[in-house]
Amino acid sequence: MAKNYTTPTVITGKNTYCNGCGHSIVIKTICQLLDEMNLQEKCVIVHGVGCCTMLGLNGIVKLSTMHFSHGKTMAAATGVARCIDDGVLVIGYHGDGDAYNIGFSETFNAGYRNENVVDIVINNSLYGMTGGQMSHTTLIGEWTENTPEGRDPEVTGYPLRFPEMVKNALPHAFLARGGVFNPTEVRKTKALLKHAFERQLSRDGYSLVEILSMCPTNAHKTPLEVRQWVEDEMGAYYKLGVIQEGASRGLIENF
Amino acid sequence: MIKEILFSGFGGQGIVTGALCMAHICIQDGMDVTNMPQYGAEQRGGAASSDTKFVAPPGEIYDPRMEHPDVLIALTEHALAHHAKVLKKDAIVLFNTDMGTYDPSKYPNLKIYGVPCLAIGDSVGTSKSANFVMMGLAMKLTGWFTRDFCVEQIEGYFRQEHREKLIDVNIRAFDAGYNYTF
Repeated sequence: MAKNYTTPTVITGKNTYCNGCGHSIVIKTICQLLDEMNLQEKCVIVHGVGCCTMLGLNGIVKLSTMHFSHGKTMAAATGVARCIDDGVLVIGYHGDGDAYNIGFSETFNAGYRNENVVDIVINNSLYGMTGGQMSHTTLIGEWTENTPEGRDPEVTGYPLRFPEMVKNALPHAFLARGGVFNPTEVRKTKALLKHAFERQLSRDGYSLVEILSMCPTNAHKTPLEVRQWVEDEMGAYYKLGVIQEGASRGLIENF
Repeated sequence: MIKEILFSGFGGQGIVTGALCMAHICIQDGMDVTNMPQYGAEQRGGAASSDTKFVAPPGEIYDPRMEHPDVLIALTEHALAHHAKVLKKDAIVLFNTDMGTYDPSKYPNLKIYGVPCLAIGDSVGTSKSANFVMMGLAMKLTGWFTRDFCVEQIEGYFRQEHREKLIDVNIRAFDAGYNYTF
C-alpha cells in the first residue's frame, strides 16, 4: 500500500538552514516521530547555541522549545525533566561543540545522574555557526577555520568518541550513533531516535543519540561531496549503530 | 582623514571576506585600520555587513563601528535601503543590479552605480567572486590604492588564510571590476 509522505504537522514554517545541512533532516525526522507517537503537545525541546538555535526561530516548528547559554543545554534539560509531567518527552538538541566542548560537564553530568532525557548531539566535526572552527570531534588532519594545516593531535588532542567513552562507566538507558548522509541511514537513525524516545517515556533514564551530520558550508564542499565525506571519513572513525543498550532502573542494583 | 568602506548584503556573498581583505590591503600600505563585521546566526542568508576604516598615521581611529562610509558595496536591495541614511554626502554606492533594483530619485545625495556583478563574476569563473568585482571597481573610482598593489595584497591575503585556490579567480574578478566600463 502506498505511503503518504507529507510534511509533519508540527513543521509550520520555512527554515534558514543551508542547502545540504543535516539539521533540517534530523528536525524533520524528530517531527515525524512526534506525529507518529502522538507527542506533538507532549514534548519539550531544549536546544543549545549554534545552528541548532534556529530550531526555535521564525516559527519553523510548533513545539515547546527552550533556549539557554552555550553548553548549558543538558543542565536546562535536567531542570525540565525534573519538574515536567509524566509522559512528556524531554529532548536536548545541540551540536558537538555545545555538547562535548563547552558543555562537556553538563552533558556528562546529566548522564552521570541518569536524568530522564534524550540527548541528541548533531556531530558535524566542527563549530558550524561561528564559522567552522575545530571541536573535540574534528578528525585528525581535518581542515577547519583554525586548523588550516589540518588538525594536529599532538598539539590539540585526539578526536573524542563520547558515547564509547561513557559506555560501561555509568547506568545509561541507551547510547547510539546514527547518520543522516543517505536515506538508509536516515531510516536507521529514525529507529534509534524512536527507541530513545520510548526508553525515556518508560522512565529508564538517560539516552544519547549522536548523529553524524553534514555541514557543506564549513567543509567548503558541495552538498553531495560533504555527504560522501561524512559517510567515508567520519564513518570510519565514528562507528554507527547501538553502542550500549543500558540497564533499566529496575536492574541498577546490579550495577 | 579617516576613509571608510562598507560591504553589505547576505551571508555567503563574501561580505566579511571582502571587507577583511580590504583591511589587509590597507595594513600592507602602512595604514592604521579597523574592521567590524556584523552578522546573525545564519551561515547563509540573513543580513550581513562589514565596515573597514583606515587612516594614515599619525591619525587615529577611536571607534571601529560604522559611522559615515565613503563607499558602500551593496550586494542586495536591502543593503542600500538600510544604510543609505548614514552614508556621506556624495558617497559612492556600487549596487548589485543582478539581484535588485533601486529608485535613484530616493537617493539624490549619493552617487549610485548599478553593476551586474554576478554576471561579471560568472564570466571570470564564478558569481561568488562578485564581492571582488565590486572591490576592483571601488578602487578604480576612489583611486585609494593602485591596481598592482591591490592584486599583490589579495594574493597575500588568501595565502595567509591558507585558501590558495581562491587567488586566481578573485584576482580576475578584481580586474574585471577595475576595468569595467558603464
